[in-house]
Amino acid sequence: MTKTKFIVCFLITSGIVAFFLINQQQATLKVESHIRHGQHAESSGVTSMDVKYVNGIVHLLLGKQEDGQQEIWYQSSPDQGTTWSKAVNVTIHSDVPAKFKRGNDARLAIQGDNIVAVWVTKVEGAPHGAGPMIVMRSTNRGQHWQLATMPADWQGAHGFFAMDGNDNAINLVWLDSREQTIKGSQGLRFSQTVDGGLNWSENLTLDNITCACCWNTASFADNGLFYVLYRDKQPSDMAIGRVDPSLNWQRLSSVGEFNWDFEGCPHIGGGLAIDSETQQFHSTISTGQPDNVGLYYLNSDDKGQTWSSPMPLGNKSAIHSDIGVSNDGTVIAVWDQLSENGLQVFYSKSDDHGQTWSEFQSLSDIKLNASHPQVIAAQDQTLILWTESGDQNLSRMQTKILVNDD
Amino acid sequence: MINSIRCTAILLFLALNLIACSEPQPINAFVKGSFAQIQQSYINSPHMIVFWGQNCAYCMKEFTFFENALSHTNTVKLITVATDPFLSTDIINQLHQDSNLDQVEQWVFSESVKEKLYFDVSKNWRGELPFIIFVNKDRRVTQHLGMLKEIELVQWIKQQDL
Repeated sequence: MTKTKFIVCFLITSGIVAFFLINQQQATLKVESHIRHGQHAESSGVTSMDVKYVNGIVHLLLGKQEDGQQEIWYQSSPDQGTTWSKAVNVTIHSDVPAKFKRGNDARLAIQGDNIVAVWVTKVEGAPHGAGPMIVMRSTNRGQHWQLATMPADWQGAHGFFAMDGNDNAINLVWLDSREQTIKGSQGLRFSQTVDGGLNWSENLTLDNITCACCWNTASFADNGLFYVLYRDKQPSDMAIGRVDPSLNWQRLSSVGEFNWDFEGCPHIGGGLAIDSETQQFHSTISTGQPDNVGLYYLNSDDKGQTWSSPMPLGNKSAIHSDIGVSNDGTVIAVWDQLSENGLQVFYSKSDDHGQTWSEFQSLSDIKLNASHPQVIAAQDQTLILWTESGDQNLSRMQTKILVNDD
Repeated sequence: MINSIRCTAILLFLALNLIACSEPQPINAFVKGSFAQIQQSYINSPHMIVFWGQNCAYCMKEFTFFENALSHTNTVKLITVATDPFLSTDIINQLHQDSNLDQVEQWVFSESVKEKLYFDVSKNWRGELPFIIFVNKDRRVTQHLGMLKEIELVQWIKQQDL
């Protein structure tokens, strides 16, 4: 009898324990499922995007526009885009309306625990509705944000930001027309902060005649030199230059000498990636020069002084591009090009330092309008991000992770 | 008395005509197929279709010399297309009035994905502005990306009247 009671008690206790264990597991699964669903929802309404990969962390800045409200959100990923932290609203304490769109995105940069974000403010009635930049900073890895000091010492409209950071500084470039030399041009300006956005250096004009409407790209090399890729004027070819640690600027070269003489608005910048092992530069640039319309890849073995012959990527309608290089030297180029439904995102990769490229592969759904891809190339996988919209016209961020030989 | 009534009627008629003429043109919705529709409408006339953008300084500069260029012709038609999707009628009207172009045929991109319309107009047009498509008296089509020089425009227009 005692033995039977013991068995019954054991079974009941086991049942209760099993019930709680199963329930706990289900609860865990529900939470995980919820996070995934929530993160997907958080990527809707996206009309601005910037991403940086620093010390194994992917930092993401999204500009969202829903119900007429513009907000900036920050997230990070410790596993190259597989999972994301809870999104933090950077603009929650800001009552200054933001203005952003793809091609003139809000940008971010990282210096240690400091993160700095910059975007354009909206001013009703101003030309293009654009006002001065606004800068926010976080000193605790994006958890909380506060207003930073204004980097610009001219209070007109700013835009087309590019920014990067290293252990010592965050450097920012942008376009403004404080001294419009020729019609339809702006100037490329520069400022630096060494204290995470508390103070900024006096503005430098890197080039006083540049394209007025093309995005800029900037990147620190390991030697502390800060490289800027931008669209020049007269001719409207892409150009690269560098700012040294003493804040001296030197224009190095044209990236793709097409001699494209264009009095107009191309709205097309380029991509730049620096191989940390070999110091080889990789770039994607675009031209509208009538005999050579399209997107091209070039590389430089002498840190931007000279460039290889342009190698076409995509078809003649390829527009917005980016490029990344992983620690093992694999180079990934991403771009969008026109289709009947708008734009479609493609990629190609090179395992021989840009000498040859794989067959171009589509990444996005051809029924959607997918544009402005960006790439983060890590050791074992590559994260590709873009924005897309369908018939409902609600723009959202989309990501794809390429693993090994994917 | 009769003469006076007649004069008044003629004056009224002329005034109404003047008012009608100064009314801005209606703005048409440019969607997939509109480009072919425009070309079909002007199949027997030399014409130029000008694609412009509100934030394109070069487009605004071009607008300033269209009036003078068109004064050299009675046959060439100008059609303008705003490429900012659903740009407000007030802005379009104002920009055309400022350049005395309120009587030209006007269209506005009416598709949220404007790249679909780029593709419909030209497979390789990536949205660069200004962009002009010329159709000459022999129906030959040429394209021009970037701002035109006024002298080149006048030259092309004059050739159509020869």
